[in-house]
Amino acid sequence: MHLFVYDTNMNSSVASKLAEKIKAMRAIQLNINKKMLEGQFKIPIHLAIGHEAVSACLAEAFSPSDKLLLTHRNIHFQLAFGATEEQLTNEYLLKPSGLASGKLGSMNLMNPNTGNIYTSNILGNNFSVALGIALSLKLKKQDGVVWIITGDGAIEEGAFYEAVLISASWKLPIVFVVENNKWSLGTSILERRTEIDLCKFADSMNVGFQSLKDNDINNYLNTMLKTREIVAVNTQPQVLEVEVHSLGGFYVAEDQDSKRYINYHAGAIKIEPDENGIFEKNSTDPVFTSLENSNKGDY
Amino acid sequence: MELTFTQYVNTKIRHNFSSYEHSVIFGQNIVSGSRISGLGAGLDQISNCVAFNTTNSENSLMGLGFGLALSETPSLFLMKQHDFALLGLDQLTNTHNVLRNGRLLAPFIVLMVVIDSGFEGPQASLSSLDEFASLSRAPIYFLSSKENIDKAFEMASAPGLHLMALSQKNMKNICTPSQLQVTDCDGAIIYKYLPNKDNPKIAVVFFGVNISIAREISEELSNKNYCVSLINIIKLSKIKLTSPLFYEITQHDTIVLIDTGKSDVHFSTDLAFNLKENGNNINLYQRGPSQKWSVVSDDAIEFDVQSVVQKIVKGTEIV
Repeated sequence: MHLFVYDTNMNSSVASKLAEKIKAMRAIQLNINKKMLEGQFKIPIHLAIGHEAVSACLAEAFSPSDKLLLTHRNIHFQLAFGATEEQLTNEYLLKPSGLASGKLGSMNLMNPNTGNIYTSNILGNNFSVALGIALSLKLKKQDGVVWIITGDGAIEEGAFYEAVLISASWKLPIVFVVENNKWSLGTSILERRTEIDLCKFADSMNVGFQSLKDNDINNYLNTMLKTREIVAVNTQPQVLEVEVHSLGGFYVAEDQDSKRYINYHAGAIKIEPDENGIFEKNSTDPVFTSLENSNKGDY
Repeated sequence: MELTFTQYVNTKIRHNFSSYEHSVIFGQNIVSGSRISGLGAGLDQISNCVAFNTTNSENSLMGLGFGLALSETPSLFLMKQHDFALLGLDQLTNTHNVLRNGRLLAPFIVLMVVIDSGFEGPQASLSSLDEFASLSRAPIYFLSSKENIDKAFEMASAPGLHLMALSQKNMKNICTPSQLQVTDCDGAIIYKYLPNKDNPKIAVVFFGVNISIAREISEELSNKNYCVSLINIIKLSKIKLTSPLFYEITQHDTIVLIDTGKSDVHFSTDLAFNLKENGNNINLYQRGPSQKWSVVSDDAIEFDVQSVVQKIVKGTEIV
């Protein structure tokens, strides 16, 4: 899937291709959202509206020998890695024609054909499985990097500390991709803990660190390619923190003078985007940002 | 040459892992220091096998084995104490629940030492294998005799999770082949004492890591001319009513179930219930729960050989 060479600027056709992909992923999620509103699914589904740039760029940086470990919120990765709307819908309907033959549903959905060999809905559970996969790659001298997707909630688990420590100690080819949306269910980071400086944390164990924000797909892709190269060549783990905004949150009036923000976590979104599927006309929305930049020819 | 349980298990590990193209043996202090009282001796010399000491991160180490098995790399997690595995229960339960339907492509063995020597305190002396087998939905192999060990390692060459338990008390004891008539029956080894068809048939069914009490009871009953089958469970799991093992157990006049585990729920209780429903004459001996388990104690089993034997003799007089 390598389309680019690290450190070169993305050409405009690639930028528009990525922008179109992100837009299409949004459209499919919105179609699935409609089906959720109609009550078609019995299973819990976690949409990833606002997370599309991370997964689209990772799919481009991903090598066929790489492995991908996901979490309960995996729809954006399944779409970026080639799952169709029909495959996903049928999986969520638990039909044999689904992506995993209707056996895994949403929160454990995996697609080994694309390198996604494990998905867990338990916070922090997939870190250690990634260690074993990476150790096997290293021992067998196989190419490949293990991309493990996690979030700002899961890094609060002790398993994250253990996994970074072990991967650094054994020099395992792992990229810890932390999708930081600043929320864990309905509780923001500010409400539940002190800030974690992942750069300092990683540095304390001689692990490299990169951070991404604002849905800048040029920067996202180049950083991911660069990170992959460091991990593959040096067999040294890296932490890649990506700021994301889970769109679809809403306010509820508590009394006459106050309202409370409810962060989107799971289930159907009840607010309407515009005709392009855009929720926010700013850098928090990857559809808006990628289309804007693509149209401007910035890339 | 006579081998101790430690040495014999060590040879079985080396035998299994020398046959793989790539494999991993890992755990805390397994190839340095005492190497878990010798269990880890020479494991770093196995060709094509990487054996190494790890960090103290049991949860991650448990998941590590699953990741290796997903990648077709056989592995063994050698664990000094059974209670350490509590930290890996998320992996044994949640990860195994997702992967146990054919997704594990290589064996992943977790070998735990059950600390049953006494005076280790209430935490280290955990012996709750029933709960582990129940939560993980994987049988636990009791490494309680040479025959059990042979069978357990044979089964553990298949892809998937394999949990094994070894008695610390047994580790320095000699592990010799039985001189009795031995048969392998569907997850258990049957040792026949005095196969005299005219006398009452007694089955002593044993669940545990250290078979010595069941062996002593069987010998005592045998000395009193009963026809005894010591049925040593290898795989701690639910024994189905339709299984050959259940049928074999029911073919005895009296059944003595002995369970030395410290769980609050037992697979042996389930077996006792089904045998009773089947109309069999059963005597069930299980441990505690005891207040002694919450303090440092000798950890002695709460019933003894003579009391068990006397009760059986009283209920099954030889004419």
